Amino acid sequence: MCKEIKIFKIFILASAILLMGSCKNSNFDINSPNPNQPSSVTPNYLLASALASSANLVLGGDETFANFWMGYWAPYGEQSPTVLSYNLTTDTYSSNWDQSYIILENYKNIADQSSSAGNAYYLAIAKIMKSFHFQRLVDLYNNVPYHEALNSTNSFPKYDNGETIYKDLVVQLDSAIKIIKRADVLNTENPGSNDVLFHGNMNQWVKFANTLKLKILMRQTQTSGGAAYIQSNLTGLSTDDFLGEGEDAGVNPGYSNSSGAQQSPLWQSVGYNIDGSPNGGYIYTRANSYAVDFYIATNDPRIGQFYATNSDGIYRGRAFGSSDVGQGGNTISGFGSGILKAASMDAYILPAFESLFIQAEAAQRGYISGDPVDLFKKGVTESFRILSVPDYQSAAQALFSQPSDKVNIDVSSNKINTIILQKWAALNAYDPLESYCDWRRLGVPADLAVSVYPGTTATHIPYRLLYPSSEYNYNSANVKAQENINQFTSKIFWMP
Amino acid sequence: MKKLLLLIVLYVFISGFTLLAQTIIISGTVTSSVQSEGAILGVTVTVKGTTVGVVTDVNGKYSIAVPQNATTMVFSYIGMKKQEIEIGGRKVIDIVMFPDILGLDEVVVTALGIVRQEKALGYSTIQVKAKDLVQSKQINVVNGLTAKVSGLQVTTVNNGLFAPTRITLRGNRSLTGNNEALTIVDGAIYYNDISSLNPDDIESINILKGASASANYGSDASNGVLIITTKKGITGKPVINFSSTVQLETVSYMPDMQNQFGSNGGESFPQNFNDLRYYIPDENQQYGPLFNGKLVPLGRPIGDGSLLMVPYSSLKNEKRKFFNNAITTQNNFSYSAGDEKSKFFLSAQDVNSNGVMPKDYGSRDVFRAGGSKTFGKFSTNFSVTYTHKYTNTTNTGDVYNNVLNTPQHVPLTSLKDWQNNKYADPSGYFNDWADNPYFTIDQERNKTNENGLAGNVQLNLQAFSWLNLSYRASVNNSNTKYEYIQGTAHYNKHAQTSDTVFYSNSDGTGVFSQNDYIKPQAQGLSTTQAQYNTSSYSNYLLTSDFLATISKDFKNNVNLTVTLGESYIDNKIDYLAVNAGPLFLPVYNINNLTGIPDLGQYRKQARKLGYFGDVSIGYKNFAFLHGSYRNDIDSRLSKANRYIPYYDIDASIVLSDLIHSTGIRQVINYLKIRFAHSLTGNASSLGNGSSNIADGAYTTEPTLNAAPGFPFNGLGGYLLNTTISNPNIKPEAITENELGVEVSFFQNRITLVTDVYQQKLKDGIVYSNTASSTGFKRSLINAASTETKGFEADLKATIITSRTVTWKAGINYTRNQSKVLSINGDLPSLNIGGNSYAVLNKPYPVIETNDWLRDPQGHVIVDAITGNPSTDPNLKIMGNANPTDLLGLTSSVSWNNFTLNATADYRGGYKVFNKLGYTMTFTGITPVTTETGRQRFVFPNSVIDEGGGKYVTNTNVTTDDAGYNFWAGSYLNVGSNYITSGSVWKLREVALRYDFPKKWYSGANIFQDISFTLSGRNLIMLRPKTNIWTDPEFSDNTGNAVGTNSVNQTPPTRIFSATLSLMF
Repeated sequence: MCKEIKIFKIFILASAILLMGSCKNSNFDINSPNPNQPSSVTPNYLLASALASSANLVLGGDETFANFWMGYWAPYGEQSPTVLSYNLTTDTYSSNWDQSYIILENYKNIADQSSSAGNAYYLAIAKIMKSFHFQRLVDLYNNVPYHEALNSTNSFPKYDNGETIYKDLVVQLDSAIKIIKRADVLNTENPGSNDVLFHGNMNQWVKFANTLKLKILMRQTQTSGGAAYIQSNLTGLSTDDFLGEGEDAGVNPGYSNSSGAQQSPLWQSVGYNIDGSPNGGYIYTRANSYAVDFYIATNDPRIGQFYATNSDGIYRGRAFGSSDVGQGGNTISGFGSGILKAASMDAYILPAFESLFIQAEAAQRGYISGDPVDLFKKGVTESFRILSVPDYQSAAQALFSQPSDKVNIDVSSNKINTIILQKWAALNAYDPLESYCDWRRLGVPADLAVSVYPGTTATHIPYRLLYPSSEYNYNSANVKAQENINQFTSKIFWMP
Repeated sequence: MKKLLLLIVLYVFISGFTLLAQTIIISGTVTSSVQSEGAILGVTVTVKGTTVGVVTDVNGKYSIAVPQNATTMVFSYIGMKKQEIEIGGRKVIDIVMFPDILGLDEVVVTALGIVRQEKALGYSTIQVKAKDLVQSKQINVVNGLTAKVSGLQVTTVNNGLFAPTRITLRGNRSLTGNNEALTIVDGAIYYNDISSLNPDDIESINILKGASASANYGSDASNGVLIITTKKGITGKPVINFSSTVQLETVSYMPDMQNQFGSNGGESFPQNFNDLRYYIPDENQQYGPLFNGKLVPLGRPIGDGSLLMVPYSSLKNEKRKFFNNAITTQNNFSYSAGDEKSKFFLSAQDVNSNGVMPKDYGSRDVFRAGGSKTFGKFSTNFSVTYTHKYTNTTNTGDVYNNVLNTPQHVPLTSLKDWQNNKYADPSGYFNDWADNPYFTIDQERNKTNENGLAGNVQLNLQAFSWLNLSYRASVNNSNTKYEYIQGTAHYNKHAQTSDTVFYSNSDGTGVFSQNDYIKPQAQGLSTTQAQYNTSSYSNYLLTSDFLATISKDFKNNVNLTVTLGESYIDNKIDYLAVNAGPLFLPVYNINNLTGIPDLGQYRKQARKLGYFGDVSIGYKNFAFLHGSYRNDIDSRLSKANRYIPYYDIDASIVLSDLIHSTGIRQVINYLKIRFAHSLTGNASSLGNGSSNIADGAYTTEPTLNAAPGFPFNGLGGYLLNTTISNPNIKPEAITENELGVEVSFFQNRITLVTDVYQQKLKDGIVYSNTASSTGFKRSLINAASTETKGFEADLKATIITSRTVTWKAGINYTRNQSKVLSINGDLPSLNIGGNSYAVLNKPYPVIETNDWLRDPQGHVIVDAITGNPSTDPNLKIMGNANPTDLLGLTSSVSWNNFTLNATADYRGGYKVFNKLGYTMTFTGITPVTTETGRQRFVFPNSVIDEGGGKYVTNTNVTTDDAGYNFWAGSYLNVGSNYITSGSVWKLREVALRYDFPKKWYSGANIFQDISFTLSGRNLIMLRPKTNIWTDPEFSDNTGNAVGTNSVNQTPPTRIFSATLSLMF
């Protein structure tokens, strides 16, 4: 009996010891933090990836659709008829919307974490990049959620008027510039290598912000009452304040051919696999006959940079919407070495020539001081440079010295027209969305080709995209509060 | 002690019918004390302390050979008091059995190892014993459960080595969580693949069908439980069992195929003619000319200028011949010994298996030692198991796809030797579009190597007559290493540069075209690079339980049992993967990789502790009330949601005890009615349905992921997760109501158990999409609700019983219907993987795919000019993917030394999506493509849209093509063409066992028992004629998204086996 009581005691003791550990409540606090992934990171770990994501969307994502509409590229192979006939659905190119907001949330997170003075540069950069994406959202969709957007606790953000957003973007950019200029250089953390756009050169960020501001303002040239508003916001700015010659805004975190995911976005999208074979995007995206014919007609040597020769050794394009299967992949030109330079190439989100062309128009319209002709010629020359045209300066000179007013601003009676036409010619694959905005704003190029897809009734390319299905499904009351959207008639606020 | 004693009795009961060498014969008659009941049939008569036992016949008579040293006989019978009678030298022992007022004999191991009287249970449980589980010597123990029990659905979703299974009880409840039954082995939660267990180690499987029965498992309880009890040794003389099984597996059914037309792809050739089609010798599609028996070239001329010529006629069995007749050997050894105080069990099993897929190979070795020891009031038992499992398989989907992509006139099996046969190597193989499957088999291998070590120890103390304390700890550690290798493929210069040739005549005489098309795989390539991926996965699981049980009988016929305890789980998972990508050389090691490897790692851990109390009150041993309550602390949940209560309340009443009319008692000898209500949980959705709790860790906090391409050369970058984390997420809540009736007739010759149940799930966890303008794409929320209703019945009967013949048969029937009540707000449907959806007010899950455009009456609308149907862009619901009706039939006949067991079943009321159809339509091998001899035809049951909602029957507008363009271009893409009824009858197992007469070997004094068993599994499968594809049980998925099969499942098989068992 005694022995049994002893066993009993030992048993109770052993059970108690074995169980005591498990009873402590803190033993159940093991699932925070997560050992595999961080639940928060400082802005420096968000900036490089956010900038790379911006480049992915602009150069490797749905924003490249404008290359098709603007006469630069033509799809080959099986394509959805809805795309070829502009019968847009709420899913067509919808990642422009979805991806933009996902990227914006990352910039918002950087900004939220950077309110302290020591992080002023991160705050400024986040504000500038938010403006960059929101402008592009307005340019594609007009009214979009802005003030109530990007908030995990508000599932149904209301829409803001496109014009209101545009006005606030200018304010935000001014504020960002102020933040940079007022920052105490010694006590403010410089993003350095995490800034994969300007490598911590905050003067370049100021120029980039001013250029974005100019781009936003110049978009409104055709709106009534725009002139005074534009002018008032450009007070005190000269051409030195914008991105100039050689100052391309190009993202490059260290693109390489080591893996598919490390290739520069445009290369990854329409270039070559790591083993050197053409990827699907390259095979099914070909030269558009509209641009090919334009470059040929203007004796533009850039054609050899934009496009490759076809199997017959010549440049040949394909009309957007063509269902001609006889125009096989090899008989139509693919991309040239000015677009596909290398897997490691910079991803330009605002090339210098774009800034110069915008300045040229602004100068021509008298909004900024400066010689529009000179700015135009610099713009063309910069385009030749970025495309690596051999002897680019003399080659550019040769182009714009021709008598045609398509290339020669000196002889042009409509200098704005010449500026925008050459801007269009330069933006091929670089920033087609800017061309799309110019066409909607000024109607240049005037004879821009419409889809030849059989049964297409469209007389012009669409004016905008439709709100995406994610809004109709999950934010329906707010999206339905917008007017009935029709891609052929609904306009962006800045359109005439 | 009571429990132990009962266990001993159980052992004795199970291992009956064994005779020892030195014996005397004792006989007698067993009668009932109840007047008019007279002789009792089916009383178990055993010799105490041995494995010897017999059953009384219809006249209550028995005759048993007992060892000379035997002292005591034991008589037991359900509803009667067990009696132990001293032999005392007697040769004839007649006894009278008395009705069992206390009824302690029949006990059941319920949740957490709590032992309860069967009659006291207010919920449904059923036990399947070892001999019924392993009668056909299947390798996976759950195949032995199939069709034997109502409410249980075992789905074997594939062929192959250690084929994966899905085990559900009472259907599905959770939309995104795990719906499979919880497996408990010797009291401990078991997360491993059940196919890692050695079936011969299993003593019994207790099935707790509903959530009420398993409520003590709290948030793991909602899906019912399989309680597996392993062998721990027996009392008596040491026994050695040895058995050896050889198994042959052969393909039983191939999909139906056409045998009329040969090679032509059709893409670049005129299709709008029906008479003349060119023969294309390097094609894998079969839209070519009719077979004519003439010699034709196969493939392009190869490097040395030679050309393989073959007869242009269908080789009907070539594809079946591709598959092996697979041999599996199984050797089992066990040793058990023990006395009243201690027992010991040792076993070893070796399984070596070839698959029907050539060169697939697998093995399993399981070593186990277990035992128990009693010291006075203290007892302990333990077991240790080591498992090694190995599989080496090819890329099944690729190979089967390529086999089906082989035109019917190609002598595929003669092209096996790709190393030496110039027409079979990668350069010379005829097929320009796919590799020689024999080459793929050697080029691509998946290897898995699993090592598992599990230990289990239980300590038990009967502190006082009214207090029992027990503690159980179990550790299960398994490590699995995966490797994928893909070898190089060499192409000779000719293959890299030579053009294809097309023939205008099917005999290969008229060369009409030389196309500049180079063998696609070989274009400019001398060698494709080798690939290597490797990963390792380890899973550690610790469980420990402490239970204190207080049991007390009160004077006023009331019995009270209270159990208090706690149960703890700690689960850790570690994973590391290197997907190396291309290698310089086919030396499969990550040192030889050429680029940046794709690396992956995660470590997960979760813990859970449940406190519980369980109270059972019995009155006069015929009315019982039981309740349990449990509170879980779960590390996966935020602190605020950690304390979640679960409960069960159930009651049973044995009405037959109230019947005093002997007339009625003669017909109905047992009648019990029971009711149960419970609330249980399910948190597996947090881990996307994984049963491992560690997989659900870390969902309440936000996470950031490394951005695509990052890190770039030392530069790190993260992006916010697009899912909004939810700190308030809580487990899904399931309530169940169940009502059951158990009735036995004619002294248990017929027993019937029926149940109706209803389960309702609320707070179902779903990922809810959000507008991306919020900055996020989705959030994890508690929003869904579902309802499941069902009916179960198990009828068992002893039809014949005599001295020489016994025939027992059983029928079990299950009807289960589920319904999605809500998903998230008014969201109408949610994709749960592949073509499976949860759809509001529909059963769960349903299959959705596209269909032809139809008029309101369901006729297919065709174009008035082309006669072609078109595709409806909207997905349509094709039907529910789970059977609603399951019927199982079992039969066991013994005649002298022969025993014949058979199991058959029917499953119906559901649809399957045979994605095999896509491949087979693409290649033009499926018979529907030849029904009109590839001549244009009026699409069956079609109408022409005349506008304004008016549709006219189409009688004369034929499709504009009946070759490649129509079948591969149009028909192919319409998923509804491959939807068939899933109804199926299967003869699951037939096993014939012969026990060699003891007199043949008893003189040798070595063997106690020798038997030989011949068995067959999946012998017959009856399907509707429309299901020309495959076994409807097959599925790409073992999760909730069942019902879609593909080329990843090789054709159905039959299995024959022969087993010799020796007992020493």
